[in-house]
Order: sequence, then C-alpha cells, then structure tokens
Amino acid sequence: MSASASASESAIAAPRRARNLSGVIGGSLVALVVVTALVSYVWTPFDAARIAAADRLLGPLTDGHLLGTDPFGRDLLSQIMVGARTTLQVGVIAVAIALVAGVPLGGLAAMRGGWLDELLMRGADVMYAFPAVLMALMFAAAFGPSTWTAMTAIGVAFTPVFARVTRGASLQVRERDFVTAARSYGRGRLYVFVRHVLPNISSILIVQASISFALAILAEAALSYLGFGTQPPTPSWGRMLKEAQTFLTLEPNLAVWPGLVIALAVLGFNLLGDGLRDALDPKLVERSGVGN
Amino acid sequence: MWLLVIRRTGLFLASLLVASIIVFIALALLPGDAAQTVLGVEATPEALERLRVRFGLDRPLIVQYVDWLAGVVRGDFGVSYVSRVPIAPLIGNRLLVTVPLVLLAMTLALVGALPLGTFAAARHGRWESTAVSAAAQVGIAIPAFWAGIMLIALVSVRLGWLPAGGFTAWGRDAASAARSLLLPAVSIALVQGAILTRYTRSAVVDVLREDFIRTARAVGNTPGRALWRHGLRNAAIPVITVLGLQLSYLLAGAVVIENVFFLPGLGRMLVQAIGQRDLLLVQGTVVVLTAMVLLVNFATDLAYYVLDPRLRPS
Repeated sequence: MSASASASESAIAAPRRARNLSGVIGGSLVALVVVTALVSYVWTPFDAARIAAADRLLGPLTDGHLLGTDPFGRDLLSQIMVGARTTLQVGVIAVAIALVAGVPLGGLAAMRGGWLDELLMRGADVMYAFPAVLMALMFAAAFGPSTWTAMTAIGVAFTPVFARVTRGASLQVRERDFVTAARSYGRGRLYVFVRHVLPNISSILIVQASISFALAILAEAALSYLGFGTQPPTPSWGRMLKEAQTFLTLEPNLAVWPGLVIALAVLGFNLLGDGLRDALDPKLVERSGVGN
Repeated sequence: MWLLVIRRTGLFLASLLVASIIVFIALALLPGDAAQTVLGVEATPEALERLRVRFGLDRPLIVQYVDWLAGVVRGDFGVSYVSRVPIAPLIGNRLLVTVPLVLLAMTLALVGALPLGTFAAARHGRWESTAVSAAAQVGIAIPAFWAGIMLIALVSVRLGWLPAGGFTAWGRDAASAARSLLLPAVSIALVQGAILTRYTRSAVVDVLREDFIRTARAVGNTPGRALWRHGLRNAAIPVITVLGLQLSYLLAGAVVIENVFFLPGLGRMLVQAIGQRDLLLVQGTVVVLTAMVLLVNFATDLAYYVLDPRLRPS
C-alpha cells in the first residue's frame, strides 16, 4: 500500500519538476524578448528603417546582415529587434485594459451576487462571442487601423475572460473564514474585496495575464498581417510576414524569421504562465488559455 | 429537460439580439458616415444629404436599427454601399467556402488530437507523454497564418503539389475546390490540434484516476478496454467544452487564413469590406460570424445533456 502511494506521489511530482523547467524556459524566452526590445533603443546592427535599393533581398550572413535584408534593403534583424517593442507594448496595454476592466466587474459580480451577477455574466457570454481578431477588425472599421486600435480591441475582447476568472476565484475565497470574520467586523464589500479577496486571487490573475499576453501577441501579429494593426513605417513582426509572402518564391528565408520570433515569444509567455501557475499555487488545475 | 432547452434557446436568442446591438452601435459610432465614404471628402453638402436620405441614414439610430433587424430576420441584409449588390446572397456564397474550411480543419484537428492526447494520457509520467506535451506546447505558439505561409513555401512553391491559393467554385469543379481548401485547413488544424491534444490528454488523465476505472480494471477489463468502455465518454465533456470554444476561435482564424490563401470566404470579404469602408457589409458579415459563434456555444451546451444524463435536471 505504502509502495503504491509513494509511486503515485512521484508520478505527480515528476510533471511538477517539468513545469518548473517550463517556467525557467518561458522566463528566459520572455527575458530575451524584453532585453531585445530594450537594446533596440540604444543599438541595432543597422537603422531598421534605412531603405537601400542596392542591398535588396540579400541572403543571410551577407555584408554584415546576419539574417539578410528585405525587398527594400532593410536589415531583417534590426527590424525584428525594433518589432519586439511593438509586440511587448501590445501585450502590456491589452492585458492592462483587460485587468482594469475585467477584475472590478468580476469582483462586483462575485461580491454582490443576485441579478447583477447574472446580468454581468450573461453580458460576458455575449462579449465572448467576439473573438479578439473579430473585435479588432470591427474597431479598425470604426476608428481606422492603428496599433492603439488593435491593443484596445484586444483588451476589450479579453475583458470577459478576466471578469469570469475573477468572479470564479472570488466566489471560492468569499466563503473562507477570514472573509466572514472581516464582514462580521462590519467591513464593506469593496474593502473586503480589495483587502482580503484580491490578494488571495492574485496568483490566478497573474497566470491568466501571462497566457493572455501570449494570445495578444498572436492577435496583433494576425491583425498586422491583415494590414489592420501596426502601420508602416513602425516595424511589426506580423506585417513583416505580409511583406515576406509576396517574395515567397524569391526569398522564402524572409518569412521564416518573423514567424519564428512570434512563435518563440508566444511560447515564452505560455510556458511562463504554466510555470507561474505551479510556483504560485500548486493546487491550481489547468484552466483557460484556450484560443489562438 | 424541455424547459431547460427552451430556457437555453431563449438565452441564445437574447444573446444574438444583444450582439447585433453591439455591432450596430460600434459601427454607428464612427466618424464620417457611409454617405461621406461613398461620395468622398469633396462631396457637396446637398449631395451628401440626398444620399443620406436614400440610405435612410437621416432617421434616428433606433429606427435604423429596428429596420435593419427586421430585414435580417427576413433574410434581407440590405444593399452594399459600395457595389450596390444585395448583401444576403454575397454572404451565402461566402459561407460555402468558410463553413467547409472550418469543418475540414476541425475534423483534421480531431483526427490527430484525440488519439494523440489519449496515447499521451495512457503513457502519463513517461517520456512519450512529455514529448507529446512539449510538441503540443510548441504547436499552440505557432501563428496559424505563419504555418500557412510556410506550407505554401514548402508544399506549393518547392514541391508544387497543391495550389498556393485561389479557389474554384464548387459547382465548376468540386474536386479542385476541395483541393484548394486542403492546405488552409491543415494550417488551422495544426494549431487547433495542438490545443485539443493538450485538453484531451489532461481530460483522459483525470478520468483514469476515477474509481470506476479502477472497478472496471478489478472486474477483469484490460487497461485499454476500461478506457475505451468507460473512460472516453467521461473525458468527452471537458473536450467538448474546449471544442466549442475552439470553433469560435476557428472562425476568427479562418478570417486570417482565407487572406493567406486568397480564398473567397466570409473572412476575406470582411477584410475587403473594411478596407473599402463598406459598413453595411461589415455589419452583416460580423453579425453572421457572431451568430455562428453563439450557435456553436448553444449546441455545445445541448451536447452536455445528451452526453451526460447526470447534468439533466429531473
């Protein structure tokens, strides 16, 4: 009996170690993207916007261009470095919007309950019918395409997810003794939510933020590819892919690198989310992170 | 049971109504209306006013909305501002590309993900399971449209096996039409399949820990038979939940993929309509896409009751 118990314990422990490994890999990839973006402010191999007709479509490792040049003679690596800024900016702003709007709404639904809860959650259901890309296309139609339109739309599209996660987690915490104690002291709902509930659900929110960050990167890349995200001349990984597709027969290499860095950044934030989930709260089971 | 179905149907219709209002308001907010878009910035105020009256844009928003909705219910989405063509048949034609694309992609994803996820769960804690999980994690991170571009580079440009894009109408050459959907469907399925593999794996792992599996083993079933007879049906609920959620993202994914492969589907029409600021067409397309998402959610909820009698209220 004891032998089988220890065997099952090690079976559970093994994936946890693997998770910590994914946290480390994810954290490193995210750090790489952040450092790349920061370095791009002070140094890039070439001016990312420099157009040079003589240097069009150079292959990798020619004339100091590590990854080669695009059809306008711009250095691919420099563009990717500067593009990292756009990617991070989109993730940060979109997730911030979703947090700022979704957490209070979810908290309100959980703390008040009743018809308000029902109304907010049915509202979240309807909003959920608009995937981020569709929401952003609608915003682009109404307000014109830009990085800001894309970020805002992605943030709005993520809001119901954060509201739902906040509500679900708050409902569990609300039943705990320390919350009942605070309530019996006569503390108001807002005070209890901010002071007692929020700190106890923060780990779930951090994990959700990390996963949503990855989804925001994917959504922005898709939008910029369609021409409704980041506008030229600001470099963006998604738009680089659009430009690369035109020259696919001539120089397939152009389409490899931007796609690869998008995938690595998304992988980084997803793995980081998995690792954090395990580090912050081992009791948490896998949830959310659906979509693309 | 029937009461619940009726309640759920009511909720579905109410959500549809609210979604249509959101779309309508979002597009009504825009600076510069449709008349301005059609006539351009140099139009005289008189010409603008005449066109507004013709489009019915001079009426209060609520009247415009109710009028539009009444049309949509009858299957009349109005006439495109730009091409002056009725919108409903346009959408109908485009659905003949988008719906088969999404269904084909989902089928491919399921055919790959279900066996792979179940296999990984059965090998839980061993290297095979870790390998499948790692591969799925990488698959989730890949943008579907990049997968599409890479597949074009490899399969179409390098090998020349399949067309790089474009579409032959079903009526003209059905086999050729199906061929043009294959690469786009594979690009979507690779990513969706990765997500489904993960969820299938964790759902089956959870089920394998259940008492009824142990009992099934105890009465003499082999592990495979216990899983097949008792496990998969129970693992189906979480997998179907994800499948429902995925289908809605799949429709959004189709919007992007159709543009990669120049497929004349709903998504490509939406992107072109936005480019031309053909707002009534945008409105109709978004409402149809949203209705499809809500319909899938509705069907997912009903599927629970069919699959799991415990969820049915007595």
